[in-house]
Amino acid sequence: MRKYIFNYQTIIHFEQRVRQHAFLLRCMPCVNACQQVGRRDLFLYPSIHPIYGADSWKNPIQYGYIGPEHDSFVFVSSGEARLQPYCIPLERPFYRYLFGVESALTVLSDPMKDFLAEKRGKLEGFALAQALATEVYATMSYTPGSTSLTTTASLAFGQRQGVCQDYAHLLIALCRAAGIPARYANGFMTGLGTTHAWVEVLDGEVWRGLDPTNNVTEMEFGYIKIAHGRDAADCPVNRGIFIGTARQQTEVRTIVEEI
Amino acid sequence: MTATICNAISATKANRLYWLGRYAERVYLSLHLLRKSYDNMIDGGDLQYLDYYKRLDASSVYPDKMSFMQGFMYDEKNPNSLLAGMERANDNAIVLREEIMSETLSYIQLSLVRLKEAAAAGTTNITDLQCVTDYLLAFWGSVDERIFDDDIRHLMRIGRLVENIDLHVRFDYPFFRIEETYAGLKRCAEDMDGIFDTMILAHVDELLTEETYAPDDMEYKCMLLKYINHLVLL
Amino acid sequence: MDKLIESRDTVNRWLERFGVRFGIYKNGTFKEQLFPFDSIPRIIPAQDWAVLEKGLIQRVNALNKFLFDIYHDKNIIRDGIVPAEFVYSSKGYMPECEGITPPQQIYSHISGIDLVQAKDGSWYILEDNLRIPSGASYPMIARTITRKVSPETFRENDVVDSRNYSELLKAMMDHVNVNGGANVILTPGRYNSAFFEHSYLAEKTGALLAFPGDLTVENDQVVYRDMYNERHLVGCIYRRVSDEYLDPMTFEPSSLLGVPNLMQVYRKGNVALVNALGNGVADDKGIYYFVPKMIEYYLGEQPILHNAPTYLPYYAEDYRYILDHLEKLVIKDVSEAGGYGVVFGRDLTPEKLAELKQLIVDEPRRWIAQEVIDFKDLEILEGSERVERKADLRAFVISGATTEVWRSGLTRFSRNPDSFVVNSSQGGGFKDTWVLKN
Repeated sequence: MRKYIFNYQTIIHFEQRVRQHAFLLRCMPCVNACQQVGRRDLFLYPSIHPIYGADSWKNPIQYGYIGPEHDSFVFVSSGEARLQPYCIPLERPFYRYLFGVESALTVLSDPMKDFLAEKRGKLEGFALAQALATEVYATMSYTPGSTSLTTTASLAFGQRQGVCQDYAHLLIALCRAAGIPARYANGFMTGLGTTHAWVEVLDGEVWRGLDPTNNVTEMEFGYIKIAHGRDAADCPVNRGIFIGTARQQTEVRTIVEEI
Repeated sequence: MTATICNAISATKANRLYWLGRYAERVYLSLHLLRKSYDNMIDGGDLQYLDYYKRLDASSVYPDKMSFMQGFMYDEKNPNSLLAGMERANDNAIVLREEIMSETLSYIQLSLVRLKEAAAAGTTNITDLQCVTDYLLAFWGSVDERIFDDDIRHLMRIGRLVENIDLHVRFDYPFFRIEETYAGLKRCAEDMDGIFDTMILAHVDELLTEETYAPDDMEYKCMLLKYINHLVLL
Repeated sequence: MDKLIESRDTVNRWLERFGVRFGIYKNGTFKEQLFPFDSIPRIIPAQDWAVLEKGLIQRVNALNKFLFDIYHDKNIIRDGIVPAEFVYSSKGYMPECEGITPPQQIYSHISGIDLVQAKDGSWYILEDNLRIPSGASYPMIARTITRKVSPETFRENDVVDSRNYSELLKAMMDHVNVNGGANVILTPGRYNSAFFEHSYLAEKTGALLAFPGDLTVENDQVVYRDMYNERHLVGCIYRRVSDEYLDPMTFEPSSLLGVPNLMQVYRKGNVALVNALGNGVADDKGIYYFVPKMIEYYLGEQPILHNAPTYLPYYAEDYRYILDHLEKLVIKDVSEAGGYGVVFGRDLTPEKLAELKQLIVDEPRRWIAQEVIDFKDLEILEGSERVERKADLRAFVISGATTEVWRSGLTRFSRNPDSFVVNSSQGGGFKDTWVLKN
């Protein structure tokens, strides 16, 4: 077991004051077989008491409503996590099917089909997923700003560029096409940065982690998960709706350190 | 569990009720004013219609008497036309069915259908539109007979009376006509906290006295119209 | 009845007077059209109706059990009745609804079941609409008008009074209302094709009509804000906004039609949604095939009403049959709605037929095939002449404390003599549906 402290903060400055602001956050670590959370705190500004719950994937969520006008929205999630080597038992049997079919952002295109046919060789199961993760890493170039939150795997693959979210989508799409159930995961990674996305694939009865962006084909430590789902659309860290002009500046910062 | 009966009206609906009242009254009064104007044209010559523009702050877009008459009845692009006013009344009424009831709404529908038929036929004899006047009177009768919720009825009446004052001031009606309507408007608002802007209300109170009322004075008229149109906070 | 039939134009004028319209988009602009009423009613004798009623209740009860099962234990998949891939790859399946138990365990509170009658008099189910079936308001208001226009017709014929639809709705909403707060009908707004219906049902049930932005989620409750900024608790929402726009925090993020965080309140059982979310998995064209099996599985009964004979290319035997008989079948695209993805094999040129065959070979899961049913045509008035046209019947089944069938329905017909499609967005009109007392 290893212990980590984490601090994740987002500061949103609205150019003009907004009101009637509903929000839903996924910014606190989940609890599972390989991830325990010692202490966890959520700081919000404007100061309100959020409601804590879980979405249908059992990811922790924090939501609420701020009626009065405000010019910024801040949330800081911090605490202490204890990690075991990355390995999560299959939670529900039907997930095998559910994470085996295409989702909106992971639709397979013909070029992806060809890519899979060319690279899969004789491998199967988790070994194939590992090989595909390396292929994704090799074929894509990490280019911030080249894609958006709603970019599909096939679009990212077409331009051979993207960020961690796109790497994850591409690997998920390829795994699913190869008959390996796969899902999107996001959270915090050791070091300084923002949030990170990776992939969990089903190996027998357990989910294993792969990080195609960093060519990690078997994740062990250093990843604190906050959510998983079919693709990135299931796991946004922050969704909000408010009345006011949408022009805003966002600062995001994450620190994770082993202690 | 049996639901509680909830008569709450959202701010948007309150705004629509107010404007439904205004537009229904605008069409009703415009019919009356146009009838008078057309009658004046019989003896007063073709240029008589220019006066009508002036009072509505409208620019002269119609080249002659005939196109003026057609335009103020059916030109959908002319915001002061009967048809445009009726369309706006209907835009508000159609989303208020559950508040005012289908029967009340039907008089707005009938007026609009009749106006559209007359427009398609190109009728310029305004007596052919008498049934629209009838429908609009029936509309207000239906409001009084069928709507039991005071807020709903008052909001519509407030719109109606504001519009009534606005048009009567524009057409230089005598003070006693305005005074009565204004008193009625204030009675309607008695149970509706915060419906009037109190500052503006004080100004209107000052402007609408026997001594100060001076519709011939353009400056006065503009100021009064501005305040009347900003009196209601919806 | 002749008196009523002669009164067609009068009835249509009354409908116009009450603003009975439906909206359509033509070349990008919104238009409100009258929905033409035909005065010759569809008449269903009491004994026929008794069978329909029993069959519809049975079907809707099974569909409700199916939905509960799919979003909980999934026994029907485990027991091999419905293949897993049919469920999980269905567009209508929403994993967001996993584990949520709607108030009173009802998913499809208002089911619109489309039926057609064959020449031999037997009825077939065409499709189930378990999401937001619309159309009840038209026969509802038409009946109130025809009774006034031609009272003698209703004195002389033993027609069941159908003016209780709003009472059925209200009783159902009260039954699922979680906290005694207001019943609300949530409309996307005036520019929705069925806006007339939303506002009319609000009027007739006494529910609040809420527009986007009127409802908010505060402290895990849904509230309606009035003009004085006071909050009113909401206990049941009959929402006419489709699932994917209902909560921008969980579904389509750009939606302005929904209520942010509604899903969380719903998950906690703090508001009832009519119909429940995720019902699309049960009215999917691919799942339709399995409904008779569901009836046997959940109720242990034989289905009373029959599907049109349907083949799934997914099964090897059906696959071969479809490819061999494509020219006499009707092919439906499972992924599309609205009557556009329906192709009759007999209308296709040999080249087009070969193309379609290839599509089926490529993506067998995407298609279903059905035998063409020889419709029993209904008489309509074209001018003053009686002609026969294709028609279907949408029956409305209300599931509250009990499951009840509204004793009327929406009979739609196509104007075009060659058309088999009676979708109101493609022209056509409607008739009253009479259920006889004896």
